[in-house]
Amino acid sequence: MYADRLYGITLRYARNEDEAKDIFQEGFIKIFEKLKQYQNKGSLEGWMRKIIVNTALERIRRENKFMLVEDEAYMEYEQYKYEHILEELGQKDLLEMIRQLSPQYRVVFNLYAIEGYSHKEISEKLNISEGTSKSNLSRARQFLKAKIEQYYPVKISQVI
Amino acid sequence: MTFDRVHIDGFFRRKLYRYKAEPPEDVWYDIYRYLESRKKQRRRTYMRLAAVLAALVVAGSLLFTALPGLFSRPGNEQMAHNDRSQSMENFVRSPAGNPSNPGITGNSAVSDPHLLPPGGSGSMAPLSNQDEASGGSSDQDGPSMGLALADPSISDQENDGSNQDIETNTGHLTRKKSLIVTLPAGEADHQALAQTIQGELHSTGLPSDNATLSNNPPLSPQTVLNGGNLSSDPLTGESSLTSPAETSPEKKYSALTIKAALSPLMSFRDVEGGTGGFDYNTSESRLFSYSGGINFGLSFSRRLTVRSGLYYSQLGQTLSKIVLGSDDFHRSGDDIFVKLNNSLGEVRVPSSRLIDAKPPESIANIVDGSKLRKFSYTLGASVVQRFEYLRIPLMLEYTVVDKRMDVNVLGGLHSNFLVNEGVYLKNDQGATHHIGNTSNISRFNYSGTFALGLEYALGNQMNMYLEPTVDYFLNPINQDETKTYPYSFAVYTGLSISF
Repeated sequence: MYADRLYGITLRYARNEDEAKDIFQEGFIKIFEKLKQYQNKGSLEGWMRKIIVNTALERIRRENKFMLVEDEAYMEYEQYKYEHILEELGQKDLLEMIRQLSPQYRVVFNLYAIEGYSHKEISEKLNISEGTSKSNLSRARQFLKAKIEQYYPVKISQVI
Repeated sequence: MTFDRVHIDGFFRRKLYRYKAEPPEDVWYDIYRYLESRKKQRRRTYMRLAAVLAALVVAGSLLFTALPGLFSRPGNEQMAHNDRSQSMENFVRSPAGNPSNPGITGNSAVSDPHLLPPGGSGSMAPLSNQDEASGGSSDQDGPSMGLALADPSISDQENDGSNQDIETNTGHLTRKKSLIVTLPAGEADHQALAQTIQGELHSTGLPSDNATLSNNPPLSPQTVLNGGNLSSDPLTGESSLTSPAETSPEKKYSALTIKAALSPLMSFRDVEGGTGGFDYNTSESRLFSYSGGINFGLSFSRRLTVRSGLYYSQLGQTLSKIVLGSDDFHRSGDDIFVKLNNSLGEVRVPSSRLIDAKPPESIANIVDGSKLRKFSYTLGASVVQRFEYLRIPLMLEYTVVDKRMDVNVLGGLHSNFLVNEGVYLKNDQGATHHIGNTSNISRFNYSGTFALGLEYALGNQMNMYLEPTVDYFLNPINQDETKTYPYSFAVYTGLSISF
């Protein structure tokens, strides 16, 4: 029942489907082995989701060294007004964009923007500073914006 | 509307937070396989630990038995004599100048005051060696009375210099007979007691003149009488003399037992390593057979027994739902044979023994790769791989409950010698015929065994028993990349005779 959603999460964290499958498999083995520890506190989906995310982080941490970009200036975004164009983008397109992010940007963006973790929580999870987390998020946003611009080469200012 | 950082985050979140994708089908297969292998690995670890533990216990017990001096303290020899002191015989030294008639005067047998029991200052009290060993107190909780009778025919033969015998001035050693009589409560009639003792001596065959009673006051209940115990209830004052055999908490045990055992046996195997382990599980299943043998046990104490013997057991597995593909057929000269790969190894069977329906030329075409490459054939019958072992156990048995129905726990090792093996085709009617052999099978293996024994006494010497047993091979039965460890469950039953 939850497998589809959980697999969807692994696809966001993984570089490709093979890696997503590995993370999913590893995560589900943990879920089966720790199922007795689940004590009906909170939703089962939330509990499984946490395990899958942690598994993804462990794997990425294992295979990629996070770049420690300490306290880099937090970059402000140029404001674009083309949300209506973005709505046309499909989930798979967005997923593909996220996958093209470097591992550290991808993880921080996923945790902050999609999972809803704070920079403090991310810094603790990834053992990086909050500044690094903010910096990575900022870079991820820049990258995604650039990708969207490539996808829709017309800037929003020109559209509106 | 602006597309700021909040919007881009929210946009991705809205689009992807609940994103669903169907996981690849084979991922569940991999997960299942992994979990199964972990489960088996855990079970295997426990079995090995149990086997090693059992082996250590057996080895420790054997070492303890074989080298008693290694573990004994200086006083242990004396302790060992305590058992003997519970019999009707032990030794005391008679007073000087009167070896033949120590004269059981209540206060003259021993002059050394430290040998007197606490509080027994007025009466004689030649402490038995067990009394001395236990610091001068009797085995009995209450006060007791002792009586030593000298037998001059026995001399220093057991005086090994240790302090188990009572020292006297002369050092002459005599055998003392101890008797048990019952005194009337409260006032013991001295003469009646003497007569009773004389009568008892007569019945034991000891010369009655060896027993004399002094004219001293009647023996008090506090007097310790060596060997036998005349006990007095401190509350009621009632005295009773009881036989050592009755007072001893030790139940007689048999030093040697012989068992005949027979059991149905269910065997299967664990597969480790290799690539085909999981696939084998779909086509291989347990085999039901039997086991039997003779077993003898040597008891070290009431509770501890070492067992060994000789058993015959059939282990193996059943292969079913066998689908033969073109790759399974091979040519060796003019012969065409089928390779039945399984977890235990490879079985080569002439194709004609497996497939009657197919014309030989078709098979030849398959093998030579000319025509029927896609050929597959599902075997209607099942194939049984059977391994016959002679097994020598070395087991340690501990009696947990020692009643009419004994409960025993057994653990140890089996040395398994493969004496015969074969592969048999078994049709729906249960008829079997030999079709080949399994290659790369070890001729010798160790296995760890654990059992729970229930033993019911049918008589003084005869017991009936039931023994559920688990046995697990400690080294693989085959010599392939895939390592296979057979295990079996049996419920042995039979009769045992004690000597």
